[in-house]
Amino acid sequence: MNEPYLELVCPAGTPAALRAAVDAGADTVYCGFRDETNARNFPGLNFDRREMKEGIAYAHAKGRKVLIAINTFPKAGNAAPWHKAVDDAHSLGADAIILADIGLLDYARRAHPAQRLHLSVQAAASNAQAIGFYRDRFDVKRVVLPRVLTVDEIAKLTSEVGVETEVFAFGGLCVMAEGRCALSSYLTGTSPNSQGACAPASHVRYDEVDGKLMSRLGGITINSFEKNEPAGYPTPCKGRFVADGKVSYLFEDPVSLNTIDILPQLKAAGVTALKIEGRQRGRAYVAEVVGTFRRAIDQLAGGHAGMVAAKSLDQHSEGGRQTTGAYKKSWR
Amino acid sequence: MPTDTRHLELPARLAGLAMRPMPERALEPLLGLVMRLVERRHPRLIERLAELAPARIIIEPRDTSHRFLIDLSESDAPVRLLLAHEDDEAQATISGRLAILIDLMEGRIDGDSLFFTRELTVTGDTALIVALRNTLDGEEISLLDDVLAFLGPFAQPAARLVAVADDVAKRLAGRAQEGLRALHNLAHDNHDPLSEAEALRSEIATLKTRLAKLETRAVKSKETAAA
Repeated sequence: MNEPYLELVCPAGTPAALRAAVDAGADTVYCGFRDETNARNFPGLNFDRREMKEGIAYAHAKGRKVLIAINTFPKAGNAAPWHKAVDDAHSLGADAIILADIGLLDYARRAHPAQRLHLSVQAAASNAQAIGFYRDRFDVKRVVLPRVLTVDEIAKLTSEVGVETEVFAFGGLCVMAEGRCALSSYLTGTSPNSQGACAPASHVRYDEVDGKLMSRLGGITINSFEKNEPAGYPTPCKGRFVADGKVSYLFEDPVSLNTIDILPQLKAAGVTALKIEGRQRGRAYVAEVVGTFRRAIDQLAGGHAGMVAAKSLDQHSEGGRQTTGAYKKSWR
Repeated sequence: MPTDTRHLELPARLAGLAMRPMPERALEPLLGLVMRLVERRHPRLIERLAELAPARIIIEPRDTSHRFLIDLSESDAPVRLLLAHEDDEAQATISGRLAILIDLMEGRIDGDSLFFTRELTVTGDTALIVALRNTLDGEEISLLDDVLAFLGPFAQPAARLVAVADDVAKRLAGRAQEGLRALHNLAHDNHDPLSEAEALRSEIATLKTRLAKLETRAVKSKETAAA
């Protein structure tokens, strides 16, 4: 099979979303088991073992790949569920397993020497030395880069590390300490990095107060929205807070990443794969975002640039706004 | 957007049906029938929903006169769909236009996107709403296909009938929605029908004058061209 122009790696939170992603043109789908071993452990989401087997069969029958994310950090003294997840992912025929924890990488490499491994963004490996360590010690074939790098930095890194690089192309952004952020843990007592859910829905409440929609996490107000203002999920880093008497999005604006306009630059930087964020989103989101990126990539591969408008995905963006994030950052 | 227009028209048709002031005695057996249909066509969905028990969720289609209650319990009937009454208690409520709620159930609209744009409102136990949304989204539901499958050998003639009836139903639903909106305005927005009628009368008079001027101008242009 020819190498794709840019491999389109798409999210699936349910078997129906997996089928939607494959049907919309994903080259690869990534998903996780129904437990705390993956970083999107939301209620009603993810795959049991039988569903994973069926999903892999569906994708493989159409010549597509399935990656299984086991990208939380095992609890001290209880790594068994994570080891079992790695063993099952291997035996179910995952095309690659996405891992973050150094101990789990060690386990996976020893237990399944031929299994292809990818390094999750949760490992936050953002420099050549860190990536080189994972490559040399665990034979990691691909690294998902944290969303902190410019296109120039990605180009330099990709040329240095000797493994494939995968970058986020669309979806929610994360503060610049992926895998190490403790904001949600502080507010809810549950950790995104160990239990797999940032701003877990069990701690989220929405209330109407004086015509305003108040969003709260763990009893703490994260934002308030005027009557017709686009709303957002109360992810703590996307809260609107008062500091020094000034109301602002202190950490990050609620805005979605969209790289449609800079795909040629990412290709030129040597990037292998584009990752669409959003395993927690519905299959309508998956089908539309994946279909839009499929068209954009196919047109670029055919020599036609800029024919798919980034704006066409506005409705799926948090806050109704989009950004190219750190790829074109101007603040440093 | 899906190209199969019958999917687009279904919500409008159901909206039309649901907006009719249907007596509860007639609606309750219908809900029972819907549940039997779902149990037969989507056993895995019932299994997954039962995992959320015990839980009660109110579904509030804003543009209808009814509210519905999903009752999940550890019993022989783990998932029940009922009419919600004033004093019914629930852990969570989801509210939006009926057509949107149906689209959401059928997985044709992304729930988060709807929420971001404020077309959907959720209150109460967010985890329960998220679990319900994800569970429904994971099941490929098409209400129309379910109903047609239920009809068995009568499905094909019924599908043709539905296609013909869709246009009419959509128009009726649209009119019903307009009517509801007008009624809502009358009831809630300090509406003054007399002054509004006066304003409309004056606007019509202005438009008539402008139309007459345009007609005169058109006749003159025609005469000039002929000369």
